[in-house]
Amino acid sequence: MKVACLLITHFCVKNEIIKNPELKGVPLVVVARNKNDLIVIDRSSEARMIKVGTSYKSAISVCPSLRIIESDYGMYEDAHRQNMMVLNGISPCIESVELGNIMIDVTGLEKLYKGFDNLANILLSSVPNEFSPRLGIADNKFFSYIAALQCDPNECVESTNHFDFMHKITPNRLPIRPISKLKLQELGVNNLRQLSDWKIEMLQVQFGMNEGKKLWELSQGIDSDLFNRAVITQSLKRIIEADDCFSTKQSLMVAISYGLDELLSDPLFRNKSARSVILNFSTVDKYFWNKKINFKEPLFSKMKIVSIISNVLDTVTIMGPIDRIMIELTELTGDLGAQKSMFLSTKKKEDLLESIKQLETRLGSKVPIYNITEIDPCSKIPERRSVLTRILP
Amino acid sequence: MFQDSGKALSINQNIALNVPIPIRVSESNKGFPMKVMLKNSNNFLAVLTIIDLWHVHSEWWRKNLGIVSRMYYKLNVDERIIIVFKDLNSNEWFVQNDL
Repeated sequence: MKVACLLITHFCVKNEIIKNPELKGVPLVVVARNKNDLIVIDRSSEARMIKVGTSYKSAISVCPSLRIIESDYGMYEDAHRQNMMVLNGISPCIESVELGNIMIDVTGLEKLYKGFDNLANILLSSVPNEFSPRLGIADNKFFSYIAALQCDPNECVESTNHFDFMHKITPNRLPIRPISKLKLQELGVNNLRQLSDWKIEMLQVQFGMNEGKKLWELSQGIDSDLFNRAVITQSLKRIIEADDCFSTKQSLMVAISYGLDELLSDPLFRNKSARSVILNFSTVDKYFWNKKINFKEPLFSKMKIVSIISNVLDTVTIMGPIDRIMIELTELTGDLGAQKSMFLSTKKKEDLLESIKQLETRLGSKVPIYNITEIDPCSKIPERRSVLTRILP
Repeated sequence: MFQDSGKALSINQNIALNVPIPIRVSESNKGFPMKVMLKNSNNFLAVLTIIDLWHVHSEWWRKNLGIVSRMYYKLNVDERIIIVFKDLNSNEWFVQNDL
């Protein structure tokens, strides 16, 4: 297996710079709310003296000319999702580790793209240049991440021998519990290479059965973590930001109606309908309200969608005036209308399938509804006679 | 011609019905069930009567993959009717109702 790790360091700051290019070269931190305080979650290279996790007040005391920007996770997640979709066009098997860190299964792709060098160039150029991505390629996820950390922006490093990097892997980089990282430091272990002489039993005594085994495997260049393929569903999103906030339901519905107009006329929505809509409101005081509304049947009519949203908004209380609305039509499907069959048996089956689809949309997972299917009804062995088969594959 | 994938045949997400469940059974000298420990009970329950018994011998043609040879017993245990069988290949006991 070959895994490529596309790493965008300081993802939040880079997003803010793309949004507002004037911030380039300015000492900048991105902060997030945490228990009535603002905590630094990311910093620009000009503000490298500020540690991530400190309060914004202490950050200002270290660097008085610091620019402080409140985090906008919606924007970061959009950018990350966009990168995922582009990379999914290159490899069908990708995994999102965190914002700005995407694993790509590139096994065998070098044959398609005429070598790893060419493939690496394509992967690096697939995301906007402003992100300055780094690419690491290795046999497993962890060492591809480590390889990506070692290389320069817009460069690629392929790790052929994991032991080359081991002396550079500090305990903080290891995918283990914080308490185990502290224990490693207490034991005087400063890098992974120092662990390669340890026996698995010794590590298991110190760190427990699972974590000890994990550490031993990593010290031998093995990463047994499975590749969790991300399922990217098609959706359409619009963000409406108002200069003057929306304080009444009427104004809110006008804005939603305007957003839906844009979404429904999008070429990607042609001949499609949506199974659900996600609404996300942000108030002036930075409170967030989020709601997913599932439709009984896939809808493409603006009137029907607006009517359902209006009914839902009648029953909720919003925390204050809204200055930002996000509307997302999700689970787009080719089912345009529900043309009922004239035969009763077919109609019953169609109704059942539709109900299961709605239930799956609501629960967000496969529903355990089965048919009893006879396999060998006359078998002498009872468990061979019939099985439960999923109604929807 | 199709190439053999080498994979075992399987019916992917299908769930077999009425799968035998292992149970603990105390046997008499002649090999008949005397006491049975059911799944939800921690005690052995005495077999009051053996209502019926029959032998299933099948798939004798699959010598390498294991012949199915089971001795079924319909028992009255604690005023309940249950069906158990002894796998004569492994000498293990299973309960299998709804036959």
